[in-house]
Amino acid sequence: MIRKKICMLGAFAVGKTSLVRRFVEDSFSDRYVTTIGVKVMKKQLTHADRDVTLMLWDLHGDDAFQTVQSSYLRGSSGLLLVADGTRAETVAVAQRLLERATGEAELDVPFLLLINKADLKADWDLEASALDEQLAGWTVLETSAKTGDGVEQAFEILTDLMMERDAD
Amino acid sequence: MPTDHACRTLLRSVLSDKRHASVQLDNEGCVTLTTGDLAWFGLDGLRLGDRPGDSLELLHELPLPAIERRLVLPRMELVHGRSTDVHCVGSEEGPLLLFLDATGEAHRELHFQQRGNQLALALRSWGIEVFEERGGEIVGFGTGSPWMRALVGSVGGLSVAAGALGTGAADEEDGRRPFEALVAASPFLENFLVDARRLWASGGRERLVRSGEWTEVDELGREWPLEASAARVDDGRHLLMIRSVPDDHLRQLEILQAARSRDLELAGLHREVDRKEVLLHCIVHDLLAPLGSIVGGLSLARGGKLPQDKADAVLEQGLAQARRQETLIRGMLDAFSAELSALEAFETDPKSAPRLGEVLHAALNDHRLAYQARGVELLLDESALPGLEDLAVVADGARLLRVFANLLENALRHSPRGGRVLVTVAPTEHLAADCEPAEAIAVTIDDQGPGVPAEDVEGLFTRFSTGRNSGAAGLGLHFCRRVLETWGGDICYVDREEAGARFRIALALA
Repeated sequence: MIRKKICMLGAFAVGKTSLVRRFVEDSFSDRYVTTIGVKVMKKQLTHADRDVTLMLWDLHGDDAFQTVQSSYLRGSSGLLLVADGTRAETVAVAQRLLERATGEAELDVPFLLLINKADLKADWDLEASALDEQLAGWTVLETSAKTGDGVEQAFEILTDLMMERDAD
Repeated sequence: MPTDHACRTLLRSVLSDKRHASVQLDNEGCVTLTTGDLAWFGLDGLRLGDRPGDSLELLHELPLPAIERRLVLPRMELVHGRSTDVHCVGSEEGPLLLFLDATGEAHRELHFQQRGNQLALALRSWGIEVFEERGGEIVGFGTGSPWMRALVGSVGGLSVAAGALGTGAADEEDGRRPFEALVAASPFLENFLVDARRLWASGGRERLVRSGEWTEVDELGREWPLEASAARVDDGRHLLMIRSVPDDHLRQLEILQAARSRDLELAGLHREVDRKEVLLHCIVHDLLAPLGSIVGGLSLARGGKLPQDKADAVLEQGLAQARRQETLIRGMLDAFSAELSALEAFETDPKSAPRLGEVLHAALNDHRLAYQARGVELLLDESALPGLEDLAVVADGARLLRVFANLLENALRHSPRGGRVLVTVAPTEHLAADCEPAEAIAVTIDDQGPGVPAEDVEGLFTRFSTGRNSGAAGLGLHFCRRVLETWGGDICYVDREEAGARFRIALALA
């Protein structure tokens, strides 16, 4: 059994817990409940005929009140950075968290940026062109934990990237 | 450590709401005192003076009386189908005390408790003391520790545990060291142990490292917020403490959550205000634009110096602009007034539902002059659906007229002079609602304008969308979608190979 640790990183209320819940339990709640510290959930899947267990570390949102400890990132095989399409500033938080992961925590692992809340796209205040310029070289996906759009795909892509990294 | 006898403390603070019984023994294991509900445990035959084996089979295998430790972790027994903890406690007062408690839990619960007990006993053999705490006072020991139950998949309440790490032999039961078995149950704890071991191995000033909060979920789906700390103490012991996150800290987090929720609401309000400012600008722009033509036309006509035909043309143009303004105002009212209740009302009864042909012809007639003035041809193709006049559709007549008006005005606005707008009516299989294909009608409106840029298509029907109508309020198409979806129909934009835009609406037959 292959075990891969994935950390969910992002500002508060961007939907990290909802994405994990959608992926693991295929459920969604509109009620915002802040994550206390860390919650680890598991999801088993098959990748190229091999059983893989994804250990999903749902980390609390990073802001002035709570800072993500670098030690939580130890042993990660991949990162999912999450931003909220209706709050452009959450992209900068995701960028900052990636810098911390690659700097302080010395991680060199595959990552994706998920722009969540695609179901509220009419309310997005992100400009796609500005995002392209700001995040050159990043893989950016749109997701909606509410509808499930793009969620499974995001985890699958990251799993592919992690397994490819292993093969190298 | 408690100053009172552990069993009395347990009786008082832990088991007051449980069935319990206690049996006091002397150093030979002879029963000297009994209290509590012995009959409930099937022990009503127990007599003072009984020895192990006389009347209480449970006494057979208990490690009596060679107990040197003050506290002995409980054994778990299934007595008459009930979960029963058997605690054996060495008392400073002399006699040993055998203590029984039971909750009547189901067998499944017993299984989990048993696992917890085994784990606690294994830890004990490693020199790891496990205590349970409530309100800052240690009230019990071992197996009831809910953090441990959460880790092994059971249930529990508030607790703290502390352990001095040993280096003994492997746990025989699962071939792993018991502490490793414990942390393997929790990936978070496993990760934290790296920091803990680093601290224990270091000779630095640092004596304590905290894990931060994490949450374990038990098999019943309940969440347990926990925090671990690792400490290095003067006597060389290495301590690992796990505790439930205190209630006051949980309250702090609730306050933090409330603050964040307010932040989100505030940001949402700011966005709404910004959007409304833009909208207000668009509305003013839209209302002002036709006013220029109206004022200009009236000024020209006022002097009476224009030839009659030119005066008529000017007045006609002014009138058209005034009507456009009226349409805009109506659209805004539709979008902003108590729209929901108004939009909910529609007809589904074939006898009273609006006739598609009547409404469509009325809309076409209303716009024919405006089309002529702009030199745009307006055509209707109903060949695929004869008998249009009698066809009843699920809708509200007045609102359906507004839908057609919006689409026809939209098509005219983007049509080049000399262009053509074609309205086609046909049966369709395309309908969002769960209707049979034969029960749906599609009306398409094709123009020969520039079409809708690909990047604007997705938001075309959202409120304030201004992609195709730069400078307009972007309410007309939003209104169309709202009412059509209310009626079980829908509206979409269709890409065409040839130039121009195509809007298609679908209506259910009444």
